[in-house]
Amino acid sequence: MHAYQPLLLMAVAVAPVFAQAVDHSGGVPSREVSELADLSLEELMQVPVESVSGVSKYQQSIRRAPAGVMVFTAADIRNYGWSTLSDVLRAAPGMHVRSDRFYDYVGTRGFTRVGDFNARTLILLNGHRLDDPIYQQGAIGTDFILDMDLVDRIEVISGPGSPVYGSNAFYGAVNVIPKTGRDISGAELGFTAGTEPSLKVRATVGDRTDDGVDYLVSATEWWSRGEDDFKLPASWRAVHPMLQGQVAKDRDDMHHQSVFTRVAWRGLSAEAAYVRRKKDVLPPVYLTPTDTTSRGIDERAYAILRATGEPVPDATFNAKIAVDVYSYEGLFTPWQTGFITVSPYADSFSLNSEVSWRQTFAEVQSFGIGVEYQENLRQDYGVDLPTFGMASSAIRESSRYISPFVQLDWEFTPNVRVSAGGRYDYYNTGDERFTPRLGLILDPTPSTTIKLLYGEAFRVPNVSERFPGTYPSNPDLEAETNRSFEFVAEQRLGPIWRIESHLYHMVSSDLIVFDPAINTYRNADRYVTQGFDIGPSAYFPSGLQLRGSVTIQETRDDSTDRIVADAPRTLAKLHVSTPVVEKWLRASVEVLYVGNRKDSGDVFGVVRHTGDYVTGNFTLRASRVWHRWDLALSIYNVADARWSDPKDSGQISSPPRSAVLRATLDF
Amino acid sequence: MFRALSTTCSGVRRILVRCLIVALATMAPVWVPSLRAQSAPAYASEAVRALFLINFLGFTDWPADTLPQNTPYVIGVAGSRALEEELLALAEKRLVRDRRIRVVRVKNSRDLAGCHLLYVSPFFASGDENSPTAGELLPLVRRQSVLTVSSSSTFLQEGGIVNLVAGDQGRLHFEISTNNAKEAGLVLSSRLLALARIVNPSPADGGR
Repeated sequence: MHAYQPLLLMAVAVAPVFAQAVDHSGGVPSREVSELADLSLEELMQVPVESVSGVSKYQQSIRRAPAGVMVFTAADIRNYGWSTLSDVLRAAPGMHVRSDRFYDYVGTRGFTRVGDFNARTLILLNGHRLDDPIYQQGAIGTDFILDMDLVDRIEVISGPGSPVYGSNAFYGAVNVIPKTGRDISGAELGFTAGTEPSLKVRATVGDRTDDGVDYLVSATEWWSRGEDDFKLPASWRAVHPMLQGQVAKDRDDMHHQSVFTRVAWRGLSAEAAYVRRKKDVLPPVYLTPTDTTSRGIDERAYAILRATGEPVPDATFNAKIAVDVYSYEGLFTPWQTGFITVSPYADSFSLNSEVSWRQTFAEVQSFGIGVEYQENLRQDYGVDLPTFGMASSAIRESSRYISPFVQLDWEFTPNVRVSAGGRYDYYNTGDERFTPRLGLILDPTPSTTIKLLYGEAFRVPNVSERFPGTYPSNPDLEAETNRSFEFVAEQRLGPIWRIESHLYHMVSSDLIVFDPAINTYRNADRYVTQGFDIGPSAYFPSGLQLRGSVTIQETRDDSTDRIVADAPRTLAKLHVSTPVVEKWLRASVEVLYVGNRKDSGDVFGVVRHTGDYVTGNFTLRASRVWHRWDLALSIYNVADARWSDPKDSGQISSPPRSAVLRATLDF
Repeated sequence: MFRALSTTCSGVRRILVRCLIVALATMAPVWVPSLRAQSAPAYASEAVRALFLINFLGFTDWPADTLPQNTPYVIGVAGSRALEEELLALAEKRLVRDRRIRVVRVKNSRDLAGCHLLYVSPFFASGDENSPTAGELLPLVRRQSVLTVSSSSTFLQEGGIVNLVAGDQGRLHFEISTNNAKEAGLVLSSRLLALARIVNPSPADGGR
């Protein structure tokens, strides 16, 4: 904790509510409706209204959000044929995804830390954090808890999110908002078949009754064979005589099962979700021979009760209590253990609760205050050695944190807004952090929005870093921190075109690394990231949609002044979607460019480059065919480009071209 | 190029701090008076539209067979999710002529069954480009006692009954085609007609 921070706290009063960044009002009438409800028609005709624009309600409030926010909708997911959250994040400006085909890792602001978990971009569902309390891994691949067909929209928030969400919203946060029963209004059956081959079946029932009860129940089962004949890289075969295979046959299978259900009535809601994903792991991931089983099973589940209400005028009260369960079980025979079979496992159980109060004063100020409490009752992990019937390590842990937060938004004039917030996180494991956020949002002209943002973030060491199995613990290990300055400019050119640009400078300090010299983790690396992105988007009345972005960025290790691993300097994206035959047939093209990256060189000691790559995906979608069907044909990696993603054990090549046919039947 | 970018970016922190100070200083004189003299805020368009729709229910008589005793009014919304949310919130606490209000999302022709009022969003306010358009829906409800409402210059010509128009200073008023209302078998109150601009496009001359 820095000396000036308590001062800052007092000076700006400070905190959360990205939930307020984007308005998630459900069942609560807007300010307008409450105020105007009793007016006669004559009086209504005298009420001034905002001019109609193409943007919907939440996009309007995004302009006022003290962060750069990008929204993807259910229509985008359908039009571009995105099957996982990774696919959506690949389309977000400034992001790239590294995959070892076991887990996916999102690179935000230009880099990922090869070998680390996906722990620096917080993944949320309806504002509820989904990372597990052992590895802090945010699942974004086929292990994500929600079927993409059930997504209503995804908000990608770039920049530090700790002043709102606490640990792990280090470089950004991704909030996935599911559909409601009303969005289904009946039943849906979804069938997806791919050339891998893969097959996915989904059944969903949902509606909103006349009494205002909104319910949704959905189940998904999904199988994929992956790449049947995976050719092993020559560099990998040189490591050990046991790894001499040329081809890994049938080692890429995936099986996903998930259930999601939600019931809401007025201000009350109950939500529960479950996912089990079993994945075979390709030999290069953990350097395993081609003829032994390598697989991991991840299971996640949560249940949440929420209440929201307006106890006094202009006040919103929110309360939430949640239970989270995570379990993992792997089976590998890796080179590193001398080909002894190991079975790593993890098992956690947590309770989370949050209450917050938000009060609006004179329509120009709003003040929010709240507290989050999490009790990790079980944080167990270890490695079993099935051959010997014993454990190589077994860690049993528990921990808790409590975090009050505060947020103040002040609209000085309709064109000038200030947003200040902060959150204090106290962990019983010894870490305490105050993270502030300050934003100035200006509309210098009716078509221009400018945001000046400062924010801090942190990530506490996870259980596997604090207690690294057979290695000694480092009692001095503390949280990593990040400070970011960002300038966002949005220019709207008439009702159709929009250009948005971000310029950022970020310093990440005390990054946690494994130090072979002391055989444990310590706070060491300091990275400096800077860059900008710029991109136009356009929505034409004809239905043609365009979105493009170019990002130029670099992340250097401060001690060596070298570009770090998996940090592409250039990213470019183009998305075009257009109606082909009136409104029922639509073609969408996605082109992604990722610049050259380095791998970490950890295993072979030689740093290699992955080279750059371009890949393109194409989807043809027919809506409302025979009234009830929605059909889409997607071809991924149209040009069959092959590239490699960096991995702590070298590199792993991308999947080849594939095609997927999706059909949804609406009852 | 990267060197240049690098030097530019390393100054960003300093520049941002300066910008912030300058901006705060410039605004300082503006703040205090601005707190007192707020100009009247404009209301969200979809919220006000929702209230118009609710009001229209009370000024319209449906044939008894389409609106039996003790049944709710059914409002169908095609397109605008924001408008739908406002209507849902209103429907929970409001009765019109002692009837409850049901709100239905219109995704295809099957959702039209039982609708008394149908609102079709113009493209730009829709938010869901796959929702059906006025051109697709109007032929399906012709002569079916459905009060159709939208905001588009061609809506009445296509057979719609009420067109909400943004007029001076963003205030909403509305146009009504009495011919189309008559064809639908709806009786609109004289008070409603007095507030409206009556427009009866004739299909022959293709305009007003």
